[in-house]
Amino acid sequence: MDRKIVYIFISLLCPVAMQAADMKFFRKAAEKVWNTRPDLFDPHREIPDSVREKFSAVIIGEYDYLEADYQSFRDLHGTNTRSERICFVRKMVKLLDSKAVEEFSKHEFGESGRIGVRYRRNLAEIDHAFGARVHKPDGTVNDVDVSRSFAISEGKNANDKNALKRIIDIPGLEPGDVLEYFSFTQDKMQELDLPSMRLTFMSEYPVLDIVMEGVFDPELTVEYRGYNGAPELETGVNEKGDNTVWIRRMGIPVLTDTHFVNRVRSLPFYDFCILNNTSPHRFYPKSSRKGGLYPDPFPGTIFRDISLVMAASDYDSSLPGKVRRILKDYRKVHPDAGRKELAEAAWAASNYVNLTDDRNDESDYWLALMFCDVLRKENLGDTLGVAFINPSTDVPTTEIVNWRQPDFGALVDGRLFISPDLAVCVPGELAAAYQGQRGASYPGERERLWDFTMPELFTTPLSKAQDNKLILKAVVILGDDHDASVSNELTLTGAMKGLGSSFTNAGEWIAEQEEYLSIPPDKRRKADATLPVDRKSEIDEAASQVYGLLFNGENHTVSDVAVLKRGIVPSAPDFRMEFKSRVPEIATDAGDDLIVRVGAFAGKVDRIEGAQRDRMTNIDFGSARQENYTITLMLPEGYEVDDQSVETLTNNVQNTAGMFVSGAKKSEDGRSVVIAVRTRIQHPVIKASGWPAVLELNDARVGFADAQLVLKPMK
Amino acid sequence: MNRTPLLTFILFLYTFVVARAADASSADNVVICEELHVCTLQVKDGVLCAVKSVEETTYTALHSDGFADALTMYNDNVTIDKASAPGAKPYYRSLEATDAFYSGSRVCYMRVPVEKGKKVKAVFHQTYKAPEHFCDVFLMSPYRKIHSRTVIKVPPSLAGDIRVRPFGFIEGMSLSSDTLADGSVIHTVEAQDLPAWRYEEDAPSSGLSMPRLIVTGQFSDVKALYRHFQKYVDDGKDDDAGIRDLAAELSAKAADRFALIDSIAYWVRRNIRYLAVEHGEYAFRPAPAAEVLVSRTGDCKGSANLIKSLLRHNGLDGRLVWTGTNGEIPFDWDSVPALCAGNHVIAACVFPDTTVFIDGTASWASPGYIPPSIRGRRVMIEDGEDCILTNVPDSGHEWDREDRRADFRISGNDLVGHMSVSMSGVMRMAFLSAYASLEPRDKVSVASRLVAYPRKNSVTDSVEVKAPLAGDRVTVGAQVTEKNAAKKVGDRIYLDLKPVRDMLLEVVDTAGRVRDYMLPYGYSSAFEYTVEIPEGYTVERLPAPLSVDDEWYSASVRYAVDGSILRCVAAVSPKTRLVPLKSIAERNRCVKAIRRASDSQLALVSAQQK
Repeated sequence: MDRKIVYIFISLLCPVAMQAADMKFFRKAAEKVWNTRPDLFDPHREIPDSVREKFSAVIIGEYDYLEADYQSFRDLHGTNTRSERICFVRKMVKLLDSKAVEEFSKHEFGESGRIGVRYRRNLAEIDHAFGARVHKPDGTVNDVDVSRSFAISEGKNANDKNALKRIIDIPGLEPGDVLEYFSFTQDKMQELDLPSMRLTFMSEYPVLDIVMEGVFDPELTVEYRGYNGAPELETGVNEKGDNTVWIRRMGIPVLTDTHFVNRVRSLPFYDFCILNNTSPHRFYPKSSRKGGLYPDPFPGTIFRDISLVMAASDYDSSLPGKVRRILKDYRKVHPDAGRKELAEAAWAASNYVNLTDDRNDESDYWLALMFCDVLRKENLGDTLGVAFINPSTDVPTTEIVNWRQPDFGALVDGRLFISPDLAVCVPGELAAAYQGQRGASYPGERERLWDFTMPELFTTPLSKAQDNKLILKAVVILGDDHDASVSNELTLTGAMKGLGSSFTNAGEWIAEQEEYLSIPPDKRRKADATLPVDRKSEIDEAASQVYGLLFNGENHTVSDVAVLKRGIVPSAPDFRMEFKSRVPEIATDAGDDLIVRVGAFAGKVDRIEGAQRDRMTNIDFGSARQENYTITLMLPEGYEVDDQSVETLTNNVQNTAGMFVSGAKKSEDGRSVVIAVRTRIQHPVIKASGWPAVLELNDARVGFADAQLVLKPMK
Repeated sequence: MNRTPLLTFILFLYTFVVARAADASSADNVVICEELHVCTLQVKDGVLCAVKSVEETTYTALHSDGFADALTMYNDNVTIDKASAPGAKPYYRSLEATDAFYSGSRVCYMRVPVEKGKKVKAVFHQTYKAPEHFCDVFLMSPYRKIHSRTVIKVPPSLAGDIRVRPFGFIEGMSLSSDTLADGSVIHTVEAQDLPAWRYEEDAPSSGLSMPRLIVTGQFSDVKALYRHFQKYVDDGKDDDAGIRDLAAELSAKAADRFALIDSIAYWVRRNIRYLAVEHGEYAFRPAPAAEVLVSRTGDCKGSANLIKSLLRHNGLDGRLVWTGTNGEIPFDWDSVPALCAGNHVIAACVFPDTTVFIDGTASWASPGYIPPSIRGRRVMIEDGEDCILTNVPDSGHEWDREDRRADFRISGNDLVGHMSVSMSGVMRMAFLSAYASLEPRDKVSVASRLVAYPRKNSVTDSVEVKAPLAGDRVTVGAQVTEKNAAKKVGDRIYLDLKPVRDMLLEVVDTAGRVRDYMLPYGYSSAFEYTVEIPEGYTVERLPAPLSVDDEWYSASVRYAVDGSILRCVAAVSPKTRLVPLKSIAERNRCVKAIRRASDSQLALVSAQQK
């Protein structure tokens, strides 16, 4: 794939013209929608009491319809192709209370866009329509007049004609009514693929009956897959010869889980890619399938596309040259650097050039390609290849349905370099989202990929809890006003460095990489324009937010923040920060005694209550992790700690999910008490059946948040 | 009538600017070194017909290159004639205020590049086509102003009518008025070194606190202003079958005329959703009652119009009432006969000997309850060609309260018992409106959290919300286990009762604060607890009673032992909602003293140990 072709193509995609769709389009949409599947929509359908008691609204019927058409035609410029997609969602909703009326009454609709003109034709057009009707309990049906909506206009002399979209509040809605409405979108694409689509079953309200249906022109290539137990779609060919997919399901529940939910790996849905693989004017892999339905494509099919995309990839970029020049300087300063260190430096340099040079702003795909080429030329890897992999926040790599879906990186001697979160990763450090994931890579020269071979599959290593640590050391000094001044030292390792992401901005990342890469001063980027006073205020704010997660209380203030290590270069792989905090009302009187709420210093935690104590989906923590809190309470003059209260701080809960352990001891001189709290989550993902173990740990932590030490006046 | 959107525009405008400006030029990197705002009143046939506004703002950057966000609002009544600044392009965008569904308000916005040490000027020319809207000129900006001059030019023919006066001027501002030889009058505000006007949590609304010029004289007096409002009122369309039927239905159930008023108010509040459509004259024209009834939506004017109509269909003297709300409008119609003195319409039922005021938008208000927003406000009651100027009774404060009661026993380390929270007045309204916006499945957990407040480690059971429709209270009750609130340490039990559980009794952070503090609600709270003392234990020593009665609060916390029962009674009542900036620290000390007394724990000792 020649990047020039892509650039030329993109340059045609402008300007973007936006305006609201007109009433004629709304009428056309309404005619199409209201005449489909009347059998699904019965406003008098019985609503189960179990739904009525728990929800403001219930979706009686939902119809998700997707239709894609195709046309090829010749003109003076040769053969052209055009595809058109119509998709709409029609819903019938029973409004059970005033909240539902408030929620379902307001709608925004009507956005339209025209993208670019090529040979006097739009390359892409999109129009959106809306329609609604209200079924009253007495059986009357009122169609909503969308022309009574309000135009949201822009421009100096804004009026209805230059409306961008419209808003409406559906008049006359009351609890007990049934609202039926649709959202209709029409896309037209010349040469381009139609936008991919994700159809999901679950919504915020229970769905009594849902039908999903797709109708596709046989010239279009439709590749799709169901995930997380989504039932298989029925397929067929209709009387016009179009390919069809269809499914009906009843009684779709609502997801009630709110903590640690990974929706994309838990909830059933379908991904559809509707491809126009016939255009003579654009790039697609030579292995692309011709028109038809391709359910659950075999991974190798998509992998072959990727291999051929890679084989066809060529570029004309200054990035590799600049990276090699940086490496040259680096080698001079670090003559003993081994291949591992040089590969890390090359990765840092690649990201550095990509970020600092205005002429380079490469996607993860091109960056991976160029990085591999640099390593190959520098002879920095025995086996190196472009790798593709999805993070845990996306569908598994082996279940992708299109070559554009995965993220791209480089596999160098078994180690994956992939677009990291620059602010929290050392070059070459694997972000938690990519850990334990299946990926694939094509080692060797790209030219070899014209002859398709299966990629090498690999699974990235999974870090352990002790690799992802939050370590807080706090020294607490009580004041006369029962407030406390606290000196804090925070260390974050591995995935827990994510908490420190706000402490490194682009300028700071660049400066630290320049130092690490030994870039000569005259070649360094001009210092960041952020004012020190502004940055201080940002850092203070970020520290205050982080402390909100470390301290289980309110109205605290944070000051004297010093970021000692950012955790973004190999010589300092962990994040370290010192700061002071002031926490109010941490001590209370109890007669002559003083009670200190020491549990508040061991992390923010909330009780999981009510329906949340049941679990439907797997529990996704993102990574295994450990939190170590060491709190040193300096005893105020004239007080000594009650030994029995020290003993009450002992906890030891260990189960399959992890552990919660706490304990305290007096210092030898008796002037301070050290409280140690350790929590550990053993695995990044725990099956839903493991929820009781997670709750046990959480309950123990919540209980410890109330932990207190009794200080008594010295006799 | 509703000027709320206009005021809200301004508030929103400033919030919007501040949010953006904070990104680009926090710590006052960008400042306004010179501002000249000239407003010229135009006359046609001897009548004020328009106002031309020319605003020239010169920005500079003190520390580094940056951007200035120059913007102004416009709408159907105000046009932008020119917007320019070097290196910036004007963008014209829709910008709806959060409390209006549709007002047609728009913003003209320029992101002006400002080089360090250089000056750059942004210019806006505007025309107020409806000059009655030109009644207040706000003088602050999200940027610090080194010098600013605001000029209002009044032509000779209007010199005797138009009055310009200051409101909320701060140090560095002065107003002067000069009569020129031709009889025209020039009002000039000179201002030096004005601080940036920033959003602050719990600060009084900008409507109450932002310095500005008040311009009156567009209306000769209150009556002329009333006639302006009155011309939008159309009584002709109210003979509607739907209204007749509803009026009859409500009448049939009401025991007497006051019960009928209550039931009309209740019906409108429960069935008419608040929806503000305020563009153009709709800011002043009440929607016809029949239309409000059919659409089941309305703003304050529409709801008031429906109430008026329902009253009249029942032979009662229903009328519209124009007013300004507490917390938003700092003056009344008599002193400022201009649009900026009002933002709200309610209804009234006029009897020979009394008048009952009904706010159709006060959802969940108890029958007869006057919400704090209109309490004591000056009002214009519709009265044919004339109006009645009077005040809404300043009563109902005593209804604004929360009472919490619990009876506990000690079980293990926990306090176990039944707790109830009873709310009336403004607290009832606040709770019920929040409660109504919840999914049914979430209601129990929210009610639980209210009962458990401020503890995060409480377990509740058998949660019950009692809100009788005609009652003046809502009561939330539950069985509560307050975990670790009675910790056993050796032979002692440390009892952490936390009697004062008032959500608004908070210490206000004064670091960097530049504006006054306003308590979100004004209400009193009272607390009463009993705790069964376990057998074999006695209270070591009761905490000293607390009694506070200062400028900010009256409060008390008292414990007593009655046989085997420990009793605690506490009360907190704020004296004022508004706390001037210089007094916040003093108020904080008062709050801390109350909280400290409340946080004090009691040691129960075993008789053996004693």
